[in-house]
Amino acid sequence: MNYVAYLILRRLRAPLITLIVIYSISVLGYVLIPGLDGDGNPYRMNFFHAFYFVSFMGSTIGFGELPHEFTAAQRFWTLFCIYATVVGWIYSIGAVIAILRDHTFINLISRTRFRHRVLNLREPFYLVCGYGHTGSAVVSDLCRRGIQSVVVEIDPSRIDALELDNHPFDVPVLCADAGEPHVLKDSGIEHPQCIGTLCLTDDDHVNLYVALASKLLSPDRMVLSRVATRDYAGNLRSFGTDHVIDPFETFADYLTNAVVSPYRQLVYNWLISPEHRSIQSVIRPHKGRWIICGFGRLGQAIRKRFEEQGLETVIIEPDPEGRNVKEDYRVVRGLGTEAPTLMEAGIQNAVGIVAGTADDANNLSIVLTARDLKKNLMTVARQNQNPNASVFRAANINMIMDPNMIIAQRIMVLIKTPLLIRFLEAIQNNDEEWCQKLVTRFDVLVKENALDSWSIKINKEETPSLYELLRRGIPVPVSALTAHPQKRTRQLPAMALMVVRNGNIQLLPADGYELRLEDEVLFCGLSWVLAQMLWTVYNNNVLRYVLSGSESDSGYLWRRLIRKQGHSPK
Amino acid sequence: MNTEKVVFAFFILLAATLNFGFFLGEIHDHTHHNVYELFAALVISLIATVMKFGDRSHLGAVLLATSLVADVQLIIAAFLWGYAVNVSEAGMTAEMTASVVSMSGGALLANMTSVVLLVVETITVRR
Repeated sequence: MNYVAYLILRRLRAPLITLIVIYSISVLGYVLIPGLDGDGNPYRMNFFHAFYFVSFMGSTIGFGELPHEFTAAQRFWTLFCIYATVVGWIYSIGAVIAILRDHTFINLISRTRFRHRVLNLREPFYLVCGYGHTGSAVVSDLCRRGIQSVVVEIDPSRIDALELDNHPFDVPVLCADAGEPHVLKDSGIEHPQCIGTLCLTDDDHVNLYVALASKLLSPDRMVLSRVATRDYAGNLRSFGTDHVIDPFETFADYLTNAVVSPYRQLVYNWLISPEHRSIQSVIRPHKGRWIICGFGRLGQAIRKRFEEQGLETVIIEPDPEGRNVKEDYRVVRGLGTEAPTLMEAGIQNAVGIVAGTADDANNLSIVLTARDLKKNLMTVARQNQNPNASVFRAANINMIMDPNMIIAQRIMVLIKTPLLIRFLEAIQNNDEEWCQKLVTRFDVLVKENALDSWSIKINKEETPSLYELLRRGIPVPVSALTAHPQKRTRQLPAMALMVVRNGNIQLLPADGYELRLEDEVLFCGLSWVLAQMLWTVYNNNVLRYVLSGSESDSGYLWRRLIRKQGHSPK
Repeated sequence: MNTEKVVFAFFILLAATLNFGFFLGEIHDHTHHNVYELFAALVISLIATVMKFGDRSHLGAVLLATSLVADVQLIIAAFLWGYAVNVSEAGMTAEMTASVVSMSGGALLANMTSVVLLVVETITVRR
């Protein structure tokens, strides 16, 4: 039903009744008050004349006294009626304008418009709950990839930010609490085109609720949630949330990798982040004593992993009792911003320092003080507030932990292709030498540019021409897909990273590796290669050219002609 | 007690009773039918209609419809009366009176339906 119409009607009740009452009293007055006609005989207006007079008096005033000149009594009544009707009209018109400016009314209108826009979406979209720094990064990334998103955000100033962000296409946005069932319903959580729910609000409880609602309403849909506490992470996983991203755990993994196996970390870095580091930037393994300032969520996550890797750690924490620090840990009481505390923690023998407190100023101070005390120290700092990003960058810190960026990057990887995550998990078992070779190949492939990745599934819908050839038993090597569709001897700047066949993984398939039906292939390379590759897998002629070098007959008619000629001599 | 409901019921009943009062009497004798009563019935009926605006329930919609029917019938009756007195040369004839009163009779039926619906709704409210 149309709520807006009902609301207007309901609000119009009082003004309309006021007008009816004023008009009826005025009419009645004219009928009751005796007057004199032109000859001085007494007469009474009837209802018809009274209504006629009141009608034009109320709106115009000044048609003259009808049907005869008025008596003094009638003029008294006219005076009253003039003011009554004018006030009545002002009140009614004012009430209508007030409705149009009313907050609830405006909200209702925008809500209705939002609902219709979401309902009419005909392309797949992601539902993004929370348009903070993470949300805005994800939405603009989705837009860049041409994927539609729908945003729900509780803070009106963030909604304004979205309008100013200038996305290439319209993003339906609603200012409401995602934790309310009807809000989720309006934002299309039941919409058949909704391909994923991204819970990115600051409130774990809201994220939990949205994830739960999404899983209940459509169990197959991808649900991704950020999370800040371990309890909620466990809770989210318990009902099958596909991806739970804890920025602290993710960063701790990242840092541990960088320390223990820098080349593998570089592979991660190239594949996940668009602004990858150069191959020369590899941080020498820093095995030795690490100082961790702040034993909060980040400190605990890092300490746990370093312990597993056998790295020595010293913790600096102002309140060790409150943080439940175990007794066998080496702990120094303090903030870590002053030299004496750092000296006590043994900074002279340390190889790295993690400034992981919840205060940005303290973190910067820790890093700068530590660097003064010891050269060649590897510095890691946690950045809590987004506006401080430029200061952190200027501080020349080796690794900056920015929770928003971590979550946004992770989400983009998942959205790009789920195969990439499988690939990154699979290379856990490979050694540093293997990773180093891979990074070198990346470097040759894309140089300074961003390394993109995508996957291709061989089936009738996505790769019709390839499907057709394979179905007829013609072998197609994986290198055919990375050949240039116009000049087959040239290779496109892309390479196959992985082939998934019946759930089994083949890492870095050789050029001659023969594809089969239903294979899934993960590629990486420059972004524009994807368009060229689709050309090959879609178009029969291009694929045949790439395989054999011959540009054969194309059209249906042409093919029939050729076949006839070929057959006729026999 | 819901004040809105009291006012609502008051106007619906008043519209019906005024209408009934006008309708009473010989159908073709205009001295039996008071023009002020017709005026009052029309005004109250209009107010009752506006009071039903914006009710989202199904019953509210039906009540609005019956009220609108009563309004239309009464406006036609008032128009006929005004035409007979001011325009027609024959004046308020017995036929004209009969038309006016039968029109108000139709409005009475609609008003009675409103009252019945109101009573039904009241009975279904359990307390």
